[in-house]
Amino acid sequence: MNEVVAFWILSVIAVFGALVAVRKRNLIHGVFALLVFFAGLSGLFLLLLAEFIAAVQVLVYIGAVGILLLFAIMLTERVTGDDDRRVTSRGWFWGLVVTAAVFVVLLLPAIQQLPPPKAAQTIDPSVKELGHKLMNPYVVTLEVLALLLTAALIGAVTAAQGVRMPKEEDSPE
Amino acid sequence: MSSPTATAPNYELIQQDGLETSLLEVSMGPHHPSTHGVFRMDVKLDGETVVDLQPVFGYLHRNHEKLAENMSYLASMPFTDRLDYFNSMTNNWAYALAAEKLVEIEVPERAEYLRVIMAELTRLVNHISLVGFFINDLGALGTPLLYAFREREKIMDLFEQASGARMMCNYFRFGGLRNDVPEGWLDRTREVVDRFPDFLDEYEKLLCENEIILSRTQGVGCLSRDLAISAGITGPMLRASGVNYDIRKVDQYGIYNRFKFRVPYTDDDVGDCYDRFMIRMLEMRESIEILKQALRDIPGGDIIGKAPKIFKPKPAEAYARVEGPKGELGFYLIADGTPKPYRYRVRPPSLINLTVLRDMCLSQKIADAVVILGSIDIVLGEVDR
Amino acid sequence: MSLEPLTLTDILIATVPLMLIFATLFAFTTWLERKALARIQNRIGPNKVGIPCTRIGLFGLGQPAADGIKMIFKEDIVPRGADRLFHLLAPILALIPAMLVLCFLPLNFPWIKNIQGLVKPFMLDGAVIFFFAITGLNTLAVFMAGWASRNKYSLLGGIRAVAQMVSYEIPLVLSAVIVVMMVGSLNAAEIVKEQADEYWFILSPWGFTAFVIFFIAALAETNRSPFDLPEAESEIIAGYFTEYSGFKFALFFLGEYIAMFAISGLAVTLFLGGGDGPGVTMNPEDQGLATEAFPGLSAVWFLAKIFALIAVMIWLRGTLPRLRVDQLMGFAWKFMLPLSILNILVAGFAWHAEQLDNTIITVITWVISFAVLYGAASGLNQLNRGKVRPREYKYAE
Repeated sequence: MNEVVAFWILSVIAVFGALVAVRKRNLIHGVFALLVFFAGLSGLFLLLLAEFIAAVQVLVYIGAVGILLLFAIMLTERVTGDDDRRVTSRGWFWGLVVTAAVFVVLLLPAIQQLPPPKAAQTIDPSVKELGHKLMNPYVVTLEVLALLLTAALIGAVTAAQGVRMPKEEDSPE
Repeated sequence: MSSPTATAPNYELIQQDGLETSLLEVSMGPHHPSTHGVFRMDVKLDGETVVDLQPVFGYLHRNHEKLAENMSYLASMPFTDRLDYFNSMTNNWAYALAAEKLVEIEVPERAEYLRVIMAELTRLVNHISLVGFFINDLGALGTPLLYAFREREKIMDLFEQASGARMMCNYFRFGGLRNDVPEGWLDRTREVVDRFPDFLDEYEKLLCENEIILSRTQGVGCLSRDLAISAGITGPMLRASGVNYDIRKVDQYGIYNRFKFRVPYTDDDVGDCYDRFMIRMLEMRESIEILKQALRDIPGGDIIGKAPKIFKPKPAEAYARVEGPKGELGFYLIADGTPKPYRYRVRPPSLINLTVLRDMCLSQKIADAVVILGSIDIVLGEVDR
Repeated sequence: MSLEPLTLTDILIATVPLMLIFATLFAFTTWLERKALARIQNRIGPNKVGIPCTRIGLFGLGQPAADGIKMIFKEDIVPRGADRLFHLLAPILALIPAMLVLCFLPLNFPWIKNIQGLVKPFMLDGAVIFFFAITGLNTLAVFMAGWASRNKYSLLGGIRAVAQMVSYEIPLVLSAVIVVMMVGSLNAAEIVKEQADEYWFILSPWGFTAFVIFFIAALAETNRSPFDLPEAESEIIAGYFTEYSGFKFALFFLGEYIAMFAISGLAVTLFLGGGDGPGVTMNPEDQGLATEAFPGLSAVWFLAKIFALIAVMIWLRGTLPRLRVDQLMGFAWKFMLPLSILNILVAGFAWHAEQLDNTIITVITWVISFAVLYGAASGLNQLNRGKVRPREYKYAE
């Protein structure tokens, strides 16, 4: 019973956050609404006893992605977040179609298994288990991902420096 | 959705490498914790870097010079206290020197010695509080400042015993001093002067090799020798830029030729905040040397020479200057034969040293701008007059 | 681990005393800080406010209460151009994560021993990672405050805070990783138990290095001197809370101190043996619950260690000037980050050496790792120092 109440509360928070994030014209408000959505999602993970995933959700999405978005906004001209321009909604129909399609695709596995199987009764969530999984069967994937991210990081640094170099030469001093 | 843009930071967009960036214009002051009074810096920032800086002053203008032209010569003596309220004694002295040049009054021996003692004590007061404020601007939570003020307080007590006032001393008169020092004052001064080096040792040990202070001040706010000379910079700031120039040595006003003391200066052409800070620390030690000699040799006798009852100089001009703690403090007087000066002009070291603020701050960080301002050593009472 | 859900009573028993205790400790710490700073600066500090309507001063212990009353009744000013909603939310958002992470500290309060449930407040499996996840939210609060105030100083403070907190989070987490590696668990209670069985991690070379890095990064995370740039008074007035007054300001203040407690608590957990100390035996079966000479002794040790760290923070605040923005970043990225990565390598080798269970090898490992870390630290220091050094001056006769 408790879980159901908590589930509904968290779902409402998440959906509300997502809606506000989409609707708000003010970029900063939008980002914070998105973070509310992430927080709700992390609560849902916690409800599923996936505490590690919940923690990572907060760490990566709220902590890192949120800050990244804020940084990106700070680099633009609209750092105060004000924007009164109306967004033209020309492609709304196709947007709707794509959204519906994605939704259906996401639901496909669940639809195929109807009626839903009984929820597993013995869950022993363990960070250790997760660590072993990552380090044994999925270690190559993990390493490739890490390498890819490192390459991206180095690439970003080089790109940023490449932009700056000529500027320094051009400056009068 | 109504986000008011009226009070939002005012951004000026500039095109740079295709990426739109903007400058942040911050008006630091007149109410700001570290502008040392009602002083304003209009700073344009690119991120944290100062792109442009415009000093704005005049908030404390009190018509000092015009006031002095409308009152008798002696009556403006207490007003000179209020110029640089840290150093009323040297202000008094510079003004007295100018007036004495107009009418040529002989100053008694004892008064000359006491003048030197007061001036050097003032230098100690100024430099020690400046160093305290400077470290405070660097972000130390007042600890060095309060240590400095503890020592300053001892000298303030001496001033109070001699003149009746701690800061607005009004102690000098044309031809000497207002009154003799009370009994035992010289002994108490000797005690303070003898103890002062211990404090300086402690202070130097704490500050001069602190890694953060070194890295915050070295290479920050460089003032080249040429710029310093052509901008008319004087005092410790000039010596920190590598020019050996001290009016106590050049003019030898008063009886400074009788004392043996050295003038610290750099010979490298850096002139950064660290140099300005260290020159002041070293100058304090030399002041103590002068004080020790003066307190040893001081004779008895009169305290004020034969000055005319009504001070009414013949038409003449006079300019007198002293090596104030902040730099060359000069008074220029034109007498027209009446008891009031026809023209009265102050050469304020603070104001003239402040003129290079922009040159020193450009392309430094905003935090450095505050430190550089602190290292110039200004008092707004003198800048705005 | 049983699957019984917690009851509401259990939750209240676990959380309410925690909040009350730390709120009280906050009040005491403000007094302690003012008093200690005053002593450092040759002053007396608060000494008048004691018991109301009497002249009993009680060393000024009534000062926090008086300050609190003043804060509550002070006018709450919101700038005309400010974003009212965010201006209100920011101090709350600053406080909540700080309060929340207190739950992850393995404080063995006697009254939580009887709670039966799935997740005992301090026995969460991923406590350490949760801790870092939730303290990271503080950055958002600071940015929110700086942005919503529509004040240039606030904005500068907010931007500084974000850059600083994000940078220092990396060495902070990397130094905590060492402990997690050595223990093989993210569970705070397990970490404490391991230290009680073996040695406090601060006593080993890699542990000590990690502790120093952690503590420095913690200073930066909580905006304490010498890393108090986001609220640097001499430069940007009060940084991100320039436009806050009254109770909202008090909330920021409270949040800052609670964050100090929390991060010191984590340092104690990771490096200083948690609630371990004389008179306390950690019980291996019961996941860090301790057998104590008297109930609450372990919690007392824990709090005492927290206060030792807080005292160091106060001491540093009274002593050091502030770094500049570029130096702050350089220190994080060029000194702390390489050192903590090297430290992870050293700790990894040391862990394998210790598995061999050979005294001589262990001793050699300790000596070598000490030498490597010391060499690396001084080498990095030399690299980063630049040409900064004391100078000689000339004298003219």
